Amino acid sequence: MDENKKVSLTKRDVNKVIARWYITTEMSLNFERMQSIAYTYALIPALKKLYPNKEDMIPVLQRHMELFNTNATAGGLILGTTLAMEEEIANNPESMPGQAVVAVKTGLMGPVAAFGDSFSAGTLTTLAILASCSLAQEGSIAGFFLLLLGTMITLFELIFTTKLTYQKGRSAIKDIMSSKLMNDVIEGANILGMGMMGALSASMVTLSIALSANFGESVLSVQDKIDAIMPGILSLSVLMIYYYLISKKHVSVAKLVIATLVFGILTAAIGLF
Amino acid sequence: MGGTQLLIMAIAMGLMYWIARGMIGGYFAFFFIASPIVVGVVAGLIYGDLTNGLILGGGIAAAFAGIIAPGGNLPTDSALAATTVIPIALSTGLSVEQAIAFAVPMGLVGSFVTNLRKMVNVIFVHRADECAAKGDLKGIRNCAIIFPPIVELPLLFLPVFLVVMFGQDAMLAFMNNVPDWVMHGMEVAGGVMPAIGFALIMNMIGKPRLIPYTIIGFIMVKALALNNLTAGLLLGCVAFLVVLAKQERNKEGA
Repeated sequence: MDENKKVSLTKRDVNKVIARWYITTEMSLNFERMQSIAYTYALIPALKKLYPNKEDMIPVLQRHMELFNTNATAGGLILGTTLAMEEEIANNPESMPGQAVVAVKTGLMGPVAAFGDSFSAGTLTTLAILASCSLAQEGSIAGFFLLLLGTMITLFELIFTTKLTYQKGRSAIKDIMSSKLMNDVIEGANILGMGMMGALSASMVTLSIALSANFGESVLSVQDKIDAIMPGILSLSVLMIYYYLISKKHVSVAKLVIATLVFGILTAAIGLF
Repeated sequence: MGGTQLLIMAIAMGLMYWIARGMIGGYFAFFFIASPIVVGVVAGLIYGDLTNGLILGGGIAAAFAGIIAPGGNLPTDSALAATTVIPIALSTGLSVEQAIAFAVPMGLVGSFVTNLRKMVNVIFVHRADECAAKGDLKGIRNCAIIFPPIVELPLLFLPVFLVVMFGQDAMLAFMNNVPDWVMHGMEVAGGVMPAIGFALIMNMIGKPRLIPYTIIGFIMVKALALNNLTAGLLLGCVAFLVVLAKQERNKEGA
């Protein structure tokens, strides 16, 4: 193709797309197509550069209006790839059909969401939140600032992943997602994540049995007996029961919260907990 | 709390909830503005008791930690709980445990409100479709950032505003009449609730074969009394070594 006609996005264009995506991802969130309006809106600065003629832009706008939903910040992996692909199509329409972009987007949104929700939102942000909580509970304003810092982790994640995948081009995401290294990184992150869920449960989940029995002068506390088997075994059991109900029985979380509330009040009524 | 101070508080809490759950500002709104800690700071400053605001906010935030929104579905909403309970707790002198107990049912109401919002926003998808077909970029912008927040203003701002403005007396009356065991039951539920969030994240990771690591993590903190950061570092090392061992095994096999 004619090299003179090649348009490419500037750093500024990419930054504009990132900023739009970060700020507006969930504003127009809806049940029918989730984040699709935000995605289309975020791409506009790039599309304006790639298609000076508005008529040419219409099919691109329309294909990005299709259902899209992922973790907003790990979603940079998809955002950068999309930018790279759209740039390639704009320069050479024969290179691939427009549907290829949609295929890549829908193919990646699940795995990327699972990675982002569990690792960045689930583990990193939760750790920052918990550290801020303990500071705040002592009445320290440092908790407020630590939380601000923790929030910024995900913003850096978005900027980093978008720039990385845009610069490496459309093949990069395939290489990254299918590479052994990525698999190993995900496996490692999963091990860390699963371990941390146990560690966090140990410090956050509190449940102890209030029942006790009187034998003459000595009071036998049921909780002490249970702790002698294994400290905190109740909290761990609760975690495992929830996990079983969510993963195997597909019980919705709202139902679990309601059930927990009812269970708490009933058991408190009979003096069990 | 009364008069102008109450009015300012109600408006501030309503606006915070609107920004937090309208997600105006993405994850900054979702994680930061929505956090009970930040709500506690704002409410504390307005009420003139920053320290108590922080303590209440920190307590409620801890009870809801780990509850994230997979696929955008918020199972229980700490932001509604915080914006409605913290101001009332400040002015009526609730303890942190009592505030958490009230926060649990309020969180459920919040998840209903956030689902309602996603239903309302469906209107704008169809509008945006038409705009895309015409190449109307301004129209898409309106559907993305102008219309949803405007429509959500009554949906998100108003309930919080009304509860803070007029809920104080109702809360006090409720406090004086509710039996102790109901209060204690809600506290028990608040103590267990973080486990739901953690189970949710485990489900998302989707690898039941890794459950032994969960148990190891639990024992490290509960029985060995390590703090979370230390446990995290240890687990990070374990993860690294396990992956390394796997890589080397694969090399030998090849």
